[in-house]
Amino acid sequence: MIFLNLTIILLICIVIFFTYNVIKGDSEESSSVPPFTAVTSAPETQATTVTSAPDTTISAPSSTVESLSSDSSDTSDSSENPETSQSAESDSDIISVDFDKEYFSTSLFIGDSITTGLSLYGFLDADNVFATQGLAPSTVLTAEIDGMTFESKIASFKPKRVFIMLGTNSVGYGEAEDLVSSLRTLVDDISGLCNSEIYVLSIPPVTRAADLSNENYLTIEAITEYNNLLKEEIGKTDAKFIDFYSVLVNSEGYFNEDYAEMDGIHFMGKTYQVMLSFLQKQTS
Amino acid sequence: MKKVTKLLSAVLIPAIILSLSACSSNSTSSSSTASETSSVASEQSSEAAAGAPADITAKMQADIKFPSMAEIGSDRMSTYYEIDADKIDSFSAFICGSGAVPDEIAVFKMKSEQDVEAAKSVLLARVDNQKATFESYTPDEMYKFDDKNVVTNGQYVALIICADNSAATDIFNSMAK
Repeated sequence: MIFLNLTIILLICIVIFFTYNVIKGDSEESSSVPPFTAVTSAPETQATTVTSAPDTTISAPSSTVESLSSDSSDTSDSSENPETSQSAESDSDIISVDFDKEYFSTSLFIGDSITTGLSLYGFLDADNVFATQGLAPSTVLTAEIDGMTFESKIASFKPKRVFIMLGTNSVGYGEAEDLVSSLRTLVDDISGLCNSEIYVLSIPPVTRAADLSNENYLTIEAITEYNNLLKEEIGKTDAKFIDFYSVLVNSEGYFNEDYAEMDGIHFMGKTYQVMLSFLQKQTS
Repeated sequence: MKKVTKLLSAVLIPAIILSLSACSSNSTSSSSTASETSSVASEQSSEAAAGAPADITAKMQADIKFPSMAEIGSDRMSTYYEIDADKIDSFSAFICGSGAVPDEIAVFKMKSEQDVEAAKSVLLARVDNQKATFESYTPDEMYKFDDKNVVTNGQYVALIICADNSAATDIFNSMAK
């Protein structure tokens, strides 16, 4: 009997002990985690998801060539709007950023500092790039880069495709007709050297801040004039003109700031991904 | 009743002691885990203080304003720096990806101090090359070229071209140990 009583008392004590611990544990948990934490943390997660989106998508240009003819004065009165890139990327027609580095393994890119970024960022090998800071349509014909001219580079590399994007260093300073004439000479020379497919890209836009800057003459107006003349001249050759400019502009007609370096002229890393994805789609 | 109380005490007291010791054991375990974590953190921080090149370049980029930088991995290192890879213990290098400005940082920890001079010569040549490239292109950026572009400290050698070479050199000297 005593044993039975003891067992019952022991069981009761154990139940009380565990009940106390459970209650204590619950109260500790509830005191360390405020009930509203989940509510406040949820929007942060959503924000992270949203901000990562521009890394992989870009709004598609409505056309690849015609938009070059647009008059820059249409945008000159627009005020700077931090939402610009958002509105540009909210367009329904979206191109995914996906390119195959192997696709460009036999391609040669000729250009200026902007083009050097293709290899500086490591998107292409240095061998695929014949470019240097300051290169211009007037200097490319005689320039030596790492001891090679464009002619010796083409002779040794034997590219299947040649992409040319030149003019940013000269537009606004020299006559657009002269610059285009120099590029025409380059295209003709390359055609005489190899059977490569030759693609000439429009030069990219600049941001509104860079457009208004007094530091250089590189304006949207001058760029548009040059690109239109270039398109016309390249149309007379076997080379193909590609309007990359339209891929990079925002709804106000300036370089989409999401894709521009601090100077409003050069490219961010993701811009090269956009560029290569676009070029692969245009040329394959 | 006294007997019952005694028996109850005999059973409950050890149980309570056991239970408390279990709690104590848990908390000891927790504190031990915390101590281990802190020990790992301490080791990591001592590693940072010891100066892994990646930590040094990370600190430079955290403290000094840089444009968008692209990392130069081991697969492309030889494209930029003709340093004998067999003599490098570890390295970390970044370059301005857009090509707009000459910003570039590279920290090499060589396997031996004797290898530092050869690496230094390579880096000095690299600085001269970059200086020649940018002096007509961006004259406003030439202030980034000075007598602190290549610095050494023991087994370490660094190339520093940025907006504040003095600050970057201080970081290098304080962490390259």
